[in-house]
Amino acid sequence: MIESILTHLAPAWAIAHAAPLLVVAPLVVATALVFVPSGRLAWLISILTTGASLFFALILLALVQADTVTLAALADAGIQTNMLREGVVSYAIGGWAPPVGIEFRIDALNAMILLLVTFIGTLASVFSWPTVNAEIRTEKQNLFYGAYLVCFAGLAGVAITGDAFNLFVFLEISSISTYVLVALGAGRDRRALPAAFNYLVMGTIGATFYVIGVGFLFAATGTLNMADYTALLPELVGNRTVQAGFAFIIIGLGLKAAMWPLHQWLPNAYAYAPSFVTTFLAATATKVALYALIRFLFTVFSPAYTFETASFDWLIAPLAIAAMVACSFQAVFQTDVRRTLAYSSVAQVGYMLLGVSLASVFGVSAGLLHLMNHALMKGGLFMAMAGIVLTYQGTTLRDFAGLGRSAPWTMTAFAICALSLIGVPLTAGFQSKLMLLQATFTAGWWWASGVIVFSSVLAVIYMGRILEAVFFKAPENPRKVRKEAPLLLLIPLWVLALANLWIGLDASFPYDLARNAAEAVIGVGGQQ
Amino acid sequence: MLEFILARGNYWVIVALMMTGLYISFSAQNLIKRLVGLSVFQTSVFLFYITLGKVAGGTAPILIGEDLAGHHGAGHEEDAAHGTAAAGHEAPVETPAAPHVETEPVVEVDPETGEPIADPTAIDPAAELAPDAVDPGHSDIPPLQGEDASLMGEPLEDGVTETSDYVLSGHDGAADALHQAAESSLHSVYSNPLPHVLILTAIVVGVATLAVGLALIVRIREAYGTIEADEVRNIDIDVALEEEEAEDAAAEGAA
Amino acid sequence: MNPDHHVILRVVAKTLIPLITLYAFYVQFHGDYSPGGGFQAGVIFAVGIILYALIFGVSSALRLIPPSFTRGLAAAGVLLYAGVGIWALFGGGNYLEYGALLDEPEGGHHGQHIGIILIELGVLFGVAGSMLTIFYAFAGRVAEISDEDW
Repeated sequence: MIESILTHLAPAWAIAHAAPLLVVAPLVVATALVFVPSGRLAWLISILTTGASLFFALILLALVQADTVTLAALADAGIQTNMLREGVVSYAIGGWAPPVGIEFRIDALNAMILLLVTFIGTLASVFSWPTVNAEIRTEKQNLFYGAYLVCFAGLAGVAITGDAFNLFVFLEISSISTYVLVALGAGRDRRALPAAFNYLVMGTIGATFYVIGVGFLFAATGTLNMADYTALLPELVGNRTVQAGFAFIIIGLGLKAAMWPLHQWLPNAYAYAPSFVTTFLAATATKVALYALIRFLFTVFSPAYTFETASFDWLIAPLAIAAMVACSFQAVFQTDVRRTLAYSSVAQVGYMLLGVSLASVFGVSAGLLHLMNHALMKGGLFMAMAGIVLTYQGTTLRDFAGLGRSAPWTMTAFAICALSLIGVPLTAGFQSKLMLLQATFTAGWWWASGVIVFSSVLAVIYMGRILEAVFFKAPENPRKVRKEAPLLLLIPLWVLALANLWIGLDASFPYDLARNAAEAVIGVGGQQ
Repeated sequence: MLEFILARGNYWVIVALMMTGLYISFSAQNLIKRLVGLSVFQTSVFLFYITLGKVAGGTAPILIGEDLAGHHGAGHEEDAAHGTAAAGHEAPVETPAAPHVETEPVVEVDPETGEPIADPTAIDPAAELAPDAVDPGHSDIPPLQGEDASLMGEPLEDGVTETSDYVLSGHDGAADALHQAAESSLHSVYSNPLPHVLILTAIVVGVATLAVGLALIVRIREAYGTIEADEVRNIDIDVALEEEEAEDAAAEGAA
Repeated sequence: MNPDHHVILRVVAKTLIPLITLYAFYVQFHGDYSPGGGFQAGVIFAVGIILYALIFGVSSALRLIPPSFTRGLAAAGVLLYAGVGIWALFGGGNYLEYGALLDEPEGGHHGQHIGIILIELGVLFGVAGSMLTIFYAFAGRVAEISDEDW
């Protein structure tokens, strides 16, 4: 089905250069937005750009999934595909062959993450205009969209690159623009400024830890290419330089991915950033950092190393459990709905890490499925949040009271995503949580299964409080400006809500993506 | 023991800077001091990479003397390597290529710390230095990693206090470097330019972070009138409490 | 400002600033085959302007080079850099493959030469533009330093 993109839709140049163009297009447009006079025009341009990136991501996904017949047909047509082997696209930047040059390397895992980032990015761009127009000053709007596209390009770059140091550069490109975007929330609430500053300090420490780790790996192997690490590191098992590098990289990326207890920057940053920024970040930023973590855990290093297995059992799994319990509890006691959702995000990162720490194809694909589903549900929840902020200017539980009657469309979508977050049957969250449960049972981690259920009960409590206020309480918020969120906001919101329902009914598409991705990374590690 | 400490002079400096920077950025309440700590922390990493790139007996990675004659116009690649961090190393007026490499001083002294430095991660200089000599996209560049991996010191069997396995003695590192130089038909020994390029990039990232951080501090000062983290926190708490009381009062009034 | 003050500073700066700017371009245009390049050149160029702003006041520097120009310069630099990469795509090469810039026979190096010079020019614009933007962003925030504060 998706191969038809290759054979019918995409021109030859797009197939050959999809990898760099996916990142370069938003980066170039972001800088060009400096010259664009109006915010509305910048908005339209950013929709087109993220849409183009989505198109390139689909091409890459099609290439990665393409069978030999399709590839042969493409080769016959004289279309360059940059396939290294089946399932792996390798693009040498500047024509410098890896490992000397920087390589963009896409396998099933990258393709999935790229699709997620560009899909959410496009939806977020569409919905952004009403809320950006309300929250950002007119003369700054074009620069705001510029910063957003830089962030988008950085995240896509992290997901696409096959070079360890290049990953750091893209990570910081996205992070630095994120600090700026978060700080722009100061127009509404000045607490965005300290939040952004703390995020900056923590984020920079995380990135620097990552660089130290890469330095150790470079010292041990003399290369920066991830595929090269895969080939070289097995010879160095037991080498303490490599182990030190491993530790630094896990901590650094864990900080970026908001792994408990390194998540302290997240709740405030999400709570006080402009609504649009929160929506985009919640659905993509930690996901991409988590991708990088998975990439290093399974492709660069390999679960075959004893030191890594030990870190799965004694570090990542306990931290994941702690996140699921502790942050769910914290979410219960928040009065600000955005903070509830932010703490819940950290808890959900715990679910994903738990799946990853099983180190089996089943576990990792469960974690990845939850990663995708969580992006869809949290994106939807924060979009509905943005609508409420726009129309009612309030984010506390009190402001939410009675909204179910005055804004039924917005709040129904919110409720669908909330139920999905809890894991009610027929929603996306149910599918991934069920799969996680099965994976933990298969691995014999019955205690982990218990924690998943317990944490879901906590989710019932903290989301239930909000839903109760929304649907069963009399309205208290006196600041009623408009009843329903604008249509531009409702459409992407409902796209996400329906996606949650669709995955709840038939999870085969995301499941296949996650399964292929898990097989791609674990398979690479298994070859050694 | 003393030799063990002295031979790793750079690494001690790096660890000290790293810890100092981290400590400042966590303990200081003043936001500017936090940024300073962050910068010190990052600088230690720059020094770490530059140390990794140093080849004992190697000069700055700019083709000199006889090597230059063979590679006209070469050296496009390393221009980025001459960033501020590397400025100390980078004087191109160093020794002209000695015809007999054996007579060169074996241990290069780092101008910053005065300690001899050794580094086994010498990447074949030819591949790095002469982009023009090799067709881009053509894969006749020798794979770098095989040899480098073999340069790695084996992990110590007794597993005692050896913290950095990869530090070889200055003499061995130099010998390896000279050996490589001989193999790659270059007359002089060059340091590895790659870490310099990486660190130039990292410096740019650091500058950007610093600029954004300072801009945030300016805005925090404008919004709160202070740049002390604890005062900012107290102001936030006070305001939140007042708001809550006001809302409670309003709710009671409405009821 | 009192013109009698800082006469020495002004005279020295007037001679130094052109030299600094010239040196920036020296570093820039020798950057393709010797130590130097866009990054250093951009910083040196920006330093020349910043020195001007420090001596003659930020307001006169703003008249000389307005912030909208520095912002545009930084963006133009990135566009130039990325543009060379896309030019290489049109030449049939990979992204940023200088060898494909010019349609030259196998073994030709002019593409490499043009490519690196343009890239470095992009870096010069980008770095100089962003350095000046950062400087203006901070300098524009506070009242100018009065003579008594020196």
